[in-house]
Amino acid sequence: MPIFGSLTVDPKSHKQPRVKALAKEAVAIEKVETLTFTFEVKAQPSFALVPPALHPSLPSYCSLKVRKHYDSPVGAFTIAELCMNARASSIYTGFCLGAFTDNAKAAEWLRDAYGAPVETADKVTLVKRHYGIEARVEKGGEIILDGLLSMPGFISGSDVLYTPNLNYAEVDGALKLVPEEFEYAIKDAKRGVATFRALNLAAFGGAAAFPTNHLPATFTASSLSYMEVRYVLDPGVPAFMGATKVA
Amino acid sequence: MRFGVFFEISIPRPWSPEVESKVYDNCIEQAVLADELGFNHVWAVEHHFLEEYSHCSAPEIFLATVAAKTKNIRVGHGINVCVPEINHPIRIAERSAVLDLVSHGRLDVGTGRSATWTELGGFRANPDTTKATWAEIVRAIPKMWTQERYSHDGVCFSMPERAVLPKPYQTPHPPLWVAVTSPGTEIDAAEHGMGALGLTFNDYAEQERRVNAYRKIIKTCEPAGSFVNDQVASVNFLYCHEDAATGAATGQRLIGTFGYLASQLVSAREVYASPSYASFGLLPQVRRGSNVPGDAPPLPPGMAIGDPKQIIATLKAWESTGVDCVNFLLNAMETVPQAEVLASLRLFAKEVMPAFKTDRKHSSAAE
Repeated sequence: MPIFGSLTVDPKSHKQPRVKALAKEAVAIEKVETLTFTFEVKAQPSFALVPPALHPSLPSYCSLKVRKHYDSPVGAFTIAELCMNARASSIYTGFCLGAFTDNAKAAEWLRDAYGAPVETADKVTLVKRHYGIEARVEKGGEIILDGLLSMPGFISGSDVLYTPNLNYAEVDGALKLVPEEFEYAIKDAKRGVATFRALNLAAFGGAAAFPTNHLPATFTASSLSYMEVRYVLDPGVPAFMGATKVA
Repeated sequence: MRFGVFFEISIPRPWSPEVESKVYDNCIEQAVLADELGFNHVWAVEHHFLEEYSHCSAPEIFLATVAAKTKNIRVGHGINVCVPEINHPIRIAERSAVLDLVSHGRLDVGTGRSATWTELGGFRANPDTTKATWAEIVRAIPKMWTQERYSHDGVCFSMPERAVLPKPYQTPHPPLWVAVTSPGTEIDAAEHGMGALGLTFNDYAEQERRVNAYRKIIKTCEPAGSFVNDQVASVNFLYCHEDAATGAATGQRLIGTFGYLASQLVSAREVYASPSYASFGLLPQVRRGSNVPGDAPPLPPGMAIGDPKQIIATLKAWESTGVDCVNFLLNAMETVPQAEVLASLRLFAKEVMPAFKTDRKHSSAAE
């Protein structure tokens, strides 16, 4: 049997985001730009970042996605989120360790509907420059992320694959994993070299993620829908045993 | 219609020298029995770093052992990863020639390029270039075998003139195959005059469409080797039992175990956006899958599980699509006890094989 995550699941913990009402309808957003940094991390310490419901990917790797939404029901916002990639049973997923956004209403929406661990930061930006595409997160005077996709070259949108997130949250008084699933249609895609001037993974909840191997970064322009929640998982048992469908 | 057995050599945790050795012993015992029962091929994969899924990183050694213990069955290296960071092309030619010699001309040489980031990244290979390196290497290797001395000045490798030794047993050289996973690779196989070694599970209509496309194109191919190897093989699972319900239940457990392990693999496409691995279709659009963790995934169509009568009907349907041979996966993570795997093979040979015309010699080198 593949390895399971070893994150301690404490039913008495009330540190997780509390879901008010799981998303019942999809929210479609017309114009979204996404910059994704992918990097392998040391395997053994990273297993403790993932709950026992999930199989950590091998090699262990993280995705740091920065998405700029030009509009949404809560207005324009940009979000940066760090995920440890894993499998829920046989389904690709990214276990969200932490996220920052520049829009307090967006943070509230994603926490309330999906249990996403989102904090508000002073600055979360995604900017296209002539020399590349930059992402930046600042909070309390600290630069948490300053990353660049340089030397961008065009690729096809069909070359890019986004996985759904899983958020560790409190739902109706119990700890659950809540899928944040997406549908998207990519109109433009680029790939380039990833470099970081600042990358504080601990601030994203990834103190035990030790990068070992940086892969090319990608940038896409797409439409994106945040889908309704179809199921929740018990974080403490294998996903194939702990799924509850949501009506 | 011919039949083969196909080994991933899947080893469950916790690993120990005893467990690893036992699984290898079981696979060798299955291959030896397959030879005695009249199966045509034993194929072994080449995979690296794929925990539990496949511990078959040196298939040439496994196949040499099988060759030493068998008389008639052909041994297939399925496949050699034709990526220079993983296998230098000279070493592929040399190892293959030795294996052909010690098996007295029973080798089939599969080629491919790997589909996982686990493997490609592990060797620091560039996913963007694997199709190009495969195409260069598969045209070089037959010349290494057939020319007294060979030199090469290419894009992915070069070498001054040397005699690549030994030369293979078969004349002019062993048959060449291509691993077909992504849609369209059967066209690559046909254009290069190579056998199409199917490694994914299609439905009957899709398989027939692919076979027809292959047969049409191979007529005008520019063969990579010295002859055209016009053959299409598909892959399947085998669990044959007198009782249909038992056969189906055990077979489904085998397929489910294999599928679960396969779903854990980190594909190149998952982490490294590259036109070389855009195998999910051409549209840059993704709709959410319908599965929920815990849902039983649907069985691939046309699986050779159940009782002999059911399996005959299934394989007749595959035969009607135009495939020349079907290679069977027999186990995954030892989920089926060895005695049951052997009994399944025996029952298949006794009850199913007689319903098909088989010709062991057909697949040997150019005749």
